[in-house]
Amino acid sequence: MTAPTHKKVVIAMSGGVDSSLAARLLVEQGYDVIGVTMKFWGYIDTGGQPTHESNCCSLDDINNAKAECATLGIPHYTLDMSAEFKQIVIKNFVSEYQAGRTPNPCIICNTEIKWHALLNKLDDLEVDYLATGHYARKIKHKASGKWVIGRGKDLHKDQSYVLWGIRPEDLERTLFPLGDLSKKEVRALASQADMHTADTPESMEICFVPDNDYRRFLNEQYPEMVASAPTGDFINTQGEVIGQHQGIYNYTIGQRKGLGLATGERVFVNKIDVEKNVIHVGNRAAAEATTFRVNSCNWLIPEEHIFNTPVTVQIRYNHAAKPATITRIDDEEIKVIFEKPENAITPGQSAVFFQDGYVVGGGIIKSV
Amino acid sequence: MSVIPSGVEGQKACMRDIENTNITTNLGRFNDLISVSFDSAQDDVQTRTSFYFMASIIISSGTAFDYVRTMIQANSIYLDHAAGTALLPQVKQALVGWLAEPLFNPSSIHAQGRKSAATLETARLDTARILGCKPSEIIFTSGGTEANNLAILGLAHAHIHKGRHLITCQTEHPSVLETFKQLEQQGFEVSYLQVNSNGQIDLAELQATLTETTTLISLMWVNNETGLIHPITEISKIARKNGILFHCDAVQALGHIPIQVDHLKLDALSCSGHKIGTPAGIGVLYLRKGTPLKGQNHGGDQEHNQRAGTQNTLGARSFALALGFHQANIQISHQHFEVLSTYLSQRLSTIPGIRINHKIEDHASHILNCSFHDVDGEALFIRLDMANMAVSNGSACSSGSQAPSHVLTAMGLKDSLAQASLRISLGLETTQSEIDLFCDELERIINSIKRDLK
Repeated sequence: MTAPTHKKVVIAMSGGVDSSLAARLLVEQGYDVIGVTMKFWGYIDTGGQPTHESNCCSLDDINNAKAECATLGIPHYTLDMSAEFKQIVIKNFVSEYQAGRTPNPCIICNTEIKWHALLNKLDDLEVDYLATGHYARKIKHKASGKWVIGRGKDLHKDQSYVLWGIRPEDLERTLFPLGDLSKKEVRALASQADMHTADTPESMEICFVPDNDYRRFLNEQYPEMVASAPTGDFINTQGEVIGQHQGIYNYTIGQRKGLGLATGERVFVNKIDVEKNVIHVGNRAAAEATTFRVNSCNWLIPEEHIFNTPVTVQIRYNHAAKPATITRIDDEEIKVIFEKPENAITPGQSAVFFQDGYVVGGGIIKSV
Repeated sequence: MSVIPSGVEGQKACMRDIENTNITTNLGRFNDLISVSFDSAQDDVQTRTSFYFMASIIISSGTAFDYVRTMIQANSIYLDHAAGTALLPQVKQALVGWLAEPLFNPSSIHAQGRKSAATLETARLDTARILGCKPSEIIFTSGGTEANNLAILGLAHAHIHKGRHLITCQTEHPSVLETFKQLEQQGFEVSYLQVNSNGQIDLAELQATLTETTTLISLMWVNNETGLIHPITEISKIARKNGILFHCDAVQALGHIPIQVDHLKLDALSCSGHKIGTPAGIGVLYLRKGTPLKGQNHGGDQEHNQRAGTQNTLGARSFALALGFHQANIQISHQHFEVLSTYLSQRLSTIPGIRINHKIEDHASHILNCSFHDVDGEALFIRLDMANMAVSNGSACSSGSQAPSHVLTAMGLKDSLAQASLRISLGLETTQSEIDLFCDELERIINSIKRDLK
């Protein structure tokens, strides 16, 4: 990295080991670093036990971040983003399930909160860069000269998939200090530096649903939405009603468990039809598709480098990107055509487009 | 002695003069210095007052505020004295001496314990004398929060046979409001008086809120966010006339308003040490003799059986010493704060989009609260901090993030304006040049972050 003397960086810190080490690396690289922890929600608001505040946004986490910053001799501030978070991320989360889709709130949070609401605030602070502890790399795209996002060195931890929504002008002033490190190296460096966050547990779940039970969250926090979601029919591939579903928000494409169907064979949710309030189930093959539509797109490089050229497309966090071509339908929508059928293409999830292994754009799956 | 220049140069010159003069052994020379300076600095009232004040501290202690020197060097400005003051030089000096003496548990009945107990009781005696009450009416606590908690919980529960109705105000400190919320959960009924746009309560409303079952009124003397002064004497009269207990949170009044509790006829009064120059960890609850109070700590008969726990003897000594200094110098300090406060409000009034959130009358002059239109409060606060300017953003919550101030929203301010607010609080060592530097920087920042100018 080039000599960054006197460049001001805000590092978004969750209180975990990744962002804490990222802050340390930036300080070592000579940046003027400012630690910021965003408070997204109050634990009580999401139905958690305040006495068990141990996940993201808890006082413990904020204090961890504060303590790491104090050790590094850099300032730390807590920014209350709970209004924006509730208005954008949680609202989207609820309305997507209501619409029979499966949201990825982390992506909405990255796109709308970290790389939008936070960046807006940073304008007032006159800082040069926003840094995060994501496992991803910022790389120059050769053909267009634009910044694109490379996968993190640690492919098990790679988070490039959740960063597609960063607008090109914002990626310009973004830093990913952990891109060239593996999680193991991060922990080792943190231990070497005697950081007290070195052994913080991995957070895999949605931060505001710490028990991973989104149905519990919706039931407790949005009882009126839940009450307005009537039960309806499960229909098999022959068109027969084979059972009753408990309201479509309870189901996601590809789901097998918790359907409550005794059909004698393994069945999966294939399609959720909100208008008719029915859920189509079938064996796995029936859920496969080649073509789907995507909207709400963001492009990191000019479109002429993307459309009608070979790309690979990743359709959920743990999916290996597969070859496809993309074409434009209209100003809003594009069509993705996989070379081979893919299983459980899920509306609401993100489709992320890679070229030579780099994220060049993405969007939200609209329909299959 | 030469003329004291104004501004930073004046400040530096003062420091040089002070350092070069052996003040404690040459008081006469220092008095000359003051009078000469006064004559020759007619047109610089602020510097003169500040200088005079600094001099009075130095005369009484023999040392200057260490950090005044540090701050001049580091170019940082501390205007958050309502959150916590620096150690008074004489407290610091005394503590060093006290730490050299052996100190044991004042409850121990052996000779060493008795000696510590005697020290503690001397501090109690001094505190009582200065506050105008009896030593047995002084309960040492860990601070203002504990004093408020103890007074409100202890009085409410001790008078439960008379009734369960309590009265406070929407703009009280959280240590009062949260305690009343707890009492509501325990079956008490609490009336929260409203305030007008200046933060004032209506005494007629107070009168109308009283019921047969009202046992306690708790109102603060000086509001910690706005500096508003409640009419304590009148409130005390109303309480007394109706046979209702009156507790007053006087944390922000101490050192700014002369307090003689016996004249006030109130029943309980809370004080905190670290607002008047002691280390944090010491507070006082004055409790009128014979007023039943249910202790909230258990496991010891300390503090006349009203506050269990080994006492903070050094804290108590520090408190008595600091309190004595403040009460003795209250005339001079009042002048100091008045002059600086007037200057500050003049300087602030020229900043675009600013709103001073209260009248300047009826306010303790060490606190000034203002808001900014079309400004992100968090960004403003961070920018000031990055520029080494320490002020407060009203009520910082435990995590350090900013919530709109409940005091300002109770006064009718919109959330956006209440969130973009600053509490500027002056200290004994604050100077006019610091206010200048602060206002210059504030104006620069406001101009660069004002939304409508972008």
